[in-house]
Amino acid sequence: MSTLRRVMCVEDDPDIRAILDFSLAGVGGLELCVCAGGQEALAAAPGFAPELVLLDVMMPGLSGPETLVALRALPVMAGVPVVFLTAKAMPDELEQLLVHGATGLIVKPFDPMTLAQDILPYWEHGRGRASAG
Amino acid sequence: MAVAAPAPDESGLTPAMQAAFLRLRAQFLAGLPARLDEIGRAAAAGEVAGGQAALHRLAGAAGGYGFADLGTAARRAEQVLLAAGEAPFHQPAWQAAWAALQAESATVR
Repeated sequence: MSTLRRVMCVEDDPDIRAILDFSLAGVGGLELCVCAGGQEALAAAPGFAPELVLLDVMMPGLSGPETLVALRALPVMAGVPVVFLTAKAMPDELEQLLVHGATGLIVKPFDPMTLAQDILPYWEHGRGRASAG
Repeated sequence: MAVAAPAPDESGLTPAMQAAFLRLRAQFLAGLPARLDEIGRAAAAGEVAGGQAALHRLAGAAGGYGFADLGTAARRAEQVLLAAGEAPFHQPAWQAAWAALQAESATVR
């Protein structure tokens, strides 16, 4: 039975990048690629070949939804679940995000001690099904 | 001679991981004044988009480091800014939300 190993995180805030690294690599033992924005993620994805992507929504330059669309065009991203990380909390805001084709979303603040476990359902149920939105 | 690994505490973290988390928390707190300054500068310049973005980032980051009330105060200030119409930074609702955020940040530093 395969297990989740490689996760890409796309997040513009350096403090959140640091806690993601601590949470997923340190606590969760995952192999991590942390990108500061959408363009960096698009450049890194082919070589890193993530099995799941955590994607911030509000970012300068390419937004989260724009990055998602561009990632989906990459062959390496076929079937890879993409989960939005967002500080938005209103139901209508969350619903709007899922329209963009994300596998799911996690609302900030996340628990750094459990995030590696929290993302597993998205990987288990989303892989192979993720497609262009 | 084999040495047993340090036992994790009730959080499940080893002492080394606990220390790493505390270092990250300290880094976040060290950067908090700069975050507040950014919001204050945006307010002084009337830059709604810049203020909202800075509040949004603070709201997303604070809770992850265990400062839930700080994150809530930032989120509240962001919502006030988004709901305000003309000259939002001059409105009482913003003034109150900004004061509350500053007060909350003072309790964590």
